[in-house]
Amino acid sequence: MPQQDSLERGLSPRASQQLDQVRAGREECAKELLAKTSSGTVANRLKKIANPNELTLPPRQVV
Amino acid sequence: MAANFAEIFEVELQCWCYGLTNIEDRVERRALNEVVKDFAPVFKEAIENLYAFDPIETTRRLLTAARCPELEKEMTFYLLSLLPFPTELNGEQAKILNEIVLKVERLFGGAIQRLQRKWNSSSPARVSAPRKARAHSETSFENLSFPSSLLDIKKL
Repeated sequence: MPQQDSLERGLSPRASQQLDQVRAGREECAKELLAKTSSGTVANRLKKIANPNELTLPPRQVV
Repeated sequence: MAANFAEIFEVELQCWCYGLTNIEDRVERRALNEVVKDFAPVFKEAIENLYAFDPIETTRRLLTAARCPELEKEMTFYLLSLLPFPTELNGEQAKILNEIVLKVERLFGGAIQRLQRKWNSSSPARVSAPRKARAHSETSFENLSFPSSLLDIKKL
């Protein structure tokens, strides 16, 4: 519930709505860039931006 | 390491800028502040990865996307206020922090003084005790090459 989160930060409804739009646009951009990216590190970052609520596990350690 | 992080920083910035251009009318200052605040963990990550990003260029690009270029100085100083405390960093990272702050000092002046005031008046409560102890043993303000007239190391 991003808008609720923004309102909790004491933002005006308009600022809160804008912030939600910016975040949504950011995620959309990451998805578009991800489709064109081959670099592993950058792709991982873009995945994280595109899916901010997805939990990422640390890489498994080889013993 | 820095070269790799430059790419990551660039995509992070690009995505925020794209998000800002999505807003049809003028972006409110408070919303912009929140965007910079959301972006702040990446500033810390950049410093930890020894990437001295350009805070002025970063702010300019965000503000151009938000169509609020007149807020350049204010937002650049806001960005600076979100950078990690030197005590959270090791020597190499503190040098990167220094480099970033000096870029703003050279253009606007007053950046070192403001940060020094902030660092003197508050402590980073979010730093855990062991990490803080380690940071103190590895880092000191002597690592920063701020002009000594502005940075009174002995007071710290």
